[in-house]
Amino acid sequence: MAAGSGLALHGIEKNFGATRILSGVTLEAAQGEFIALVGPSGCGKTTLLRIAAGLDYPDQGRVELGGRDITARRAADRDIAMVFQSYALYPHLTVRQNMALPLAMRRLSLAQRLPVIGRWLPGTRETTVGIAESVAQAAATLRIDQLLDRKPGQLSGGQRQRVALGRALVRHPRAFLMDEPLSNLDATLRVHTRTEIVELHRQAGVTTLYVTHDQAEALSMADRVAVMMGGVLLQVAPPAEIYRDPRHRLVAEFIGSPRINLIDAVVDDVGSAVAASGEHPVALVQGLALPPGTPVSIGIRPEHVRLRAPAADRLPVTLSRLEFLGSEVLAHLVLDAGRLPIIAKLVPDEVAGLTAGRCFGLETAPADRLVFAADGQRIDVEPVAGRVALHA
Amino acid sequence: MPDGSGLPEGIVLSSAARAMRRVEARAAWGLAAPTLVLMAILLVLPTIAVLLLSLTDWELGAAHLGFVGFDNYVELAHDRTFVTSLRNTLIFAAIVTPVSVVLGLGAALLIEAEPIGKTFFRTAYFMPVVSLIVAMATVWQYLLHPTIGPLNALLRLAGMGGPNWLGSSDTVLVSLAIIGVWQAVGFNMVLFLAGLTAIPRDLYAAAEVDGVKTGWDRFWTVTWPLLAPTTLFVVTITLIQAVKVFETVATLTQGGPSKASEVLLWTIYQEGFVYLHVGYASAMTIVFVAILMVVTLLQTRVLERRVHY
Amino acid sequence: MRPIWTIGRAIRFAILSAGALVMLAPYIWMISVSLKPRSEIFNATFELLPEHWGAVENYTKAMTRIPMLTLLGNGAIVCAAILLFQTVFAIPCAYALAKLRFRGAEPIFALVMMGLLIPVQTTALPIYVVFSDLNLLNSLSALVIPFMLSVFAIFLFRQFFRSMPDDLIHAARLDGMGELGIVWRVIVPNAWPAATAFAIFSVVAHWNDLFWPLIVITRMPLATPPLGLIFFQAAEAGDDYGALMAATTIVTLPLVLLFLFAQRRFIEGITLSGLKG
Repeated sequence: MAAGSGLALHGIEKNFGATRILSGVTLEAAQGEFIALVGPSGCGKTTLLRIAAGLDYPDQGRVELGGRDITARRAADRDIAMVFQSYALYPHLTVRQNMALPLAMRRLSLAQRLPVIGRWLPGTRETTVGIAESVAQAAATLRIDQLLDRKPGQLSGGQRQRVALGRALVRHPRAFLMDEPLSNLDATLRVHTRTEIVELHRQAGVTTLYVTHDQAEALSMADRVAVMMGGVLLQVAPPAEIYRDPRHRLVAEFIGSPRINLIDAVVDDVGSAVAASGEHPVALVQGLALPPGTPVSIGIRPEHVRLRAPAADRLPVTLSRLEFLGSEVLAHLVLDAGRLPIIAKLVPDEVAGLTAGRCFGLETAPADRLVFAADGQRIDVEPVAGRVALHA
Repeated sequence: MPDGSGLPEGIVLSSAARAMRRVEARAAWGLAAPTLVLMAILLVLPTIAVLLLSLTDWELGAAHLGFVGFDNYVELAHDRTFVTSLRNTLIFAAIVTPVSVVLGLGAALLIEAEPIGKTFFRTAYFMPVVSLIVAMATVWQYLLHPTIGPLNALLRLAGMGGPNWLGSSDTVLVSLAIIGVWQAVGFNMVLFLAGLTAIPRDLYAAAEVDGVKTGWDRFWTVTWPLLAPTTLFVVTITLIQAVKVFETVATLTQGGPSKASEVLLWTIYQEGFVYLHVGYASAMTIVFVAILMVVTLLQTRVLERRVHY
Repeated sequence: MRPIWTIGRAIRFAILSAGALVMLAPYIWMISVSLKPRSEIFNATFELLPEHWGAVENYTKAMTRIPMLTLLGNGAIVCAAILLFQTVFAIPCAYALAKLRFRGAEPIFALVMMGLLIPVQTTALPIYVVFSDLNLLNSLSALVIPFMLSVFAIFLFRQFFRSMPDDLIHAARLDGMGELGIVWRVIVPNAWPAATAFAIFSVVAHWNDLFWPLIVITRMPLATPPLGLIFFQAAEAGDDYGALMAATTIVTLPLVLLFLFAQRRFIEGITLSGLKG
């Protein structure tokens, strides 16, 4: 997979009037890669997608496809297909005609497309037959062949979504762009269709840029996940890495459900991040090369939280309630100092004997504590050999 | 339930519920009663009266009223004035409708695409709709005046002679049609603008990605098909308004010269209210109403079938 | 970045402007002629601005030869009265059709729909005959009575009321309000959008109407503006264009001003008349 032969966006800047929508966004998708662009609503991901599609133009920066600069080309001239959130199917055309349109636009000339006369022009016959074959193939792949003669208004949401996919697929473009294609489906259908899309991508091998606000969707589908917030790309990495090793506090907060627990701490004289917790401050992380008094955040994922007996070197928490979710249980705790809510994800077996109101000491493995600076950047901590790890 | 009480089949009410229903029904009848009386007096009875009168030979002021069956209608078919009137009305409608619909659509498309001055243009095109028809007709009389009117003055500047627009039987219907188009364009434009804004923007984006590049392609791929219900609506409305033409004829030509601008409502007016041939004019009215009802029903029928997605 | 001005856009703008000019030409000429003295009008040149001002003469003639103020007053009274009656009759009935359950709901609504199909001019003859017998011709009542019923108003208000939440009415009933009270205290205050749209439609339609006034009025003091203009035109034998144009300017002004003030409402209301057909 040669880098640069896929879809690349370099240094994209976009403003709407006085508002800055995108700041210096650079994203490179290798040929055949599936990249999920994820972020909260309004973060600019749809704008970036539209710029990649050619429906909008950046104030600065370039768009490259297959190594070629296509920034100045309009959408119709780019070899890119797009699936819209609303599907945008032509309501007056049948499924067959919907899927044939992009091919007809590209393979037939204006004269050949005229209603009555076009049919009699030379070449139209063969091209039309070719188009019909392509449509039939794509319809078979998506298993919508029995729907070909229906109109979008007669289809269910899931079927319409497939037709939208089919319309994109039928062109065998160099890149797929998808704008939250699953957000209009109900939950079960969404999960089911996720797998189908990933399968399709594997078969077709086409570079795909997939926009979603659902982080679980992004993690489950993508080769790499790009997290965007406020028009800035915070991190681009494979799902496991994004989850395990977020480089920014906002990324850690956005990715993962339930949300990561964040505990405020201050660096003390010996380089330990200390959380104020009532009677005794507890040192959470050691070996920080930061001046004393620097505020930091310590992030601990719910599944890494262990509840032990209260101790001087453990953060004191009180259990407020248990939330039963079937295969797991969420324990809602409150950190005594400052009443900070903490969530711990437990297995049902561990829950015996836990009652609301009881106090515990919080414990996690040192490696599971992520340190973030005040500006959100991640601070790496070297593991200290031979030291007695102070557990909290 | 078919009795209109709004209940599904098989539901049995308790006596308390039934009593409540009765109270509600009584209140409803009470609220509707004045309107019902009015409907009877102003709508139902007169309509029946017209139907019955069309079968008589009655004239206002005459003492005698005789039933003549369908004789009036037969006479209408042979009545030169009426037939001319019918033909003129249809020609007028056939000119005004397509021209004002196309121009209205064109104006709407242009205004929609142009961000500057949208409000100004919309106002300018819509002005004729809110202006007194009779007043503007008199202005047009001046504009189309063969000797002192600016239109012919302009034509003279260009070296051509201008005809006697409203005074010659060859050009009078066309002149009236021009005025009719002028009045209708703004209205149609507004309806089309509403239809255009209802087209989802996403469809245009999808079309662009699909390779639809030119305005021509964009129009035929997205705009025209999605405007279909609006277009049908506009055509019907314009057609109906055109068949009802009266004010311009009454103000400018009074049916002349030599019946060249005789139109249905004018003929009805003359026969019924000037010559007072009430029975005969009633028959004309029935024909007039029948034409309009056919047009309206055609619209509903086409709407059900073709324009539906 | 796309350039601001392309050839296509320039052409578009040019066509729109040309069209706007054609649309506005009659108004421009109307005002121009109303300012010219008689001699200049008959010069038949393509001059817009008058050399000598005949405005005073024309407008005075327009105001005096026909009782302009009376005409405008008649028009205003008639339109206001018609609107008042139409809404007073339509709203309770529409409310009953929309929100109350009774056996007559469907048949009455069917009658309303049929009424929409029938054009106004259908009932002119019999009503005229009756008025003639009752000696009601040549009166303002004759102008108002036939229009007191507006099936279109009933249709419109019913659709509007249907979309109003039922809870509002249930709450009023729980408060002990009778149906009439509900209409007066709950429905009417909330019917504002539909009412203004309909008001505009009704006022424009009846301000413009020539057919009926032509039939029932033969005396100038009772004429409405359109009729007054016809009388004026007939009286002047089409010679005094200056005064005629002055008269049309005065008569056209009210609606145009109203339109310029409340454009959106206006367009809404007029678009409704399309629904009526």
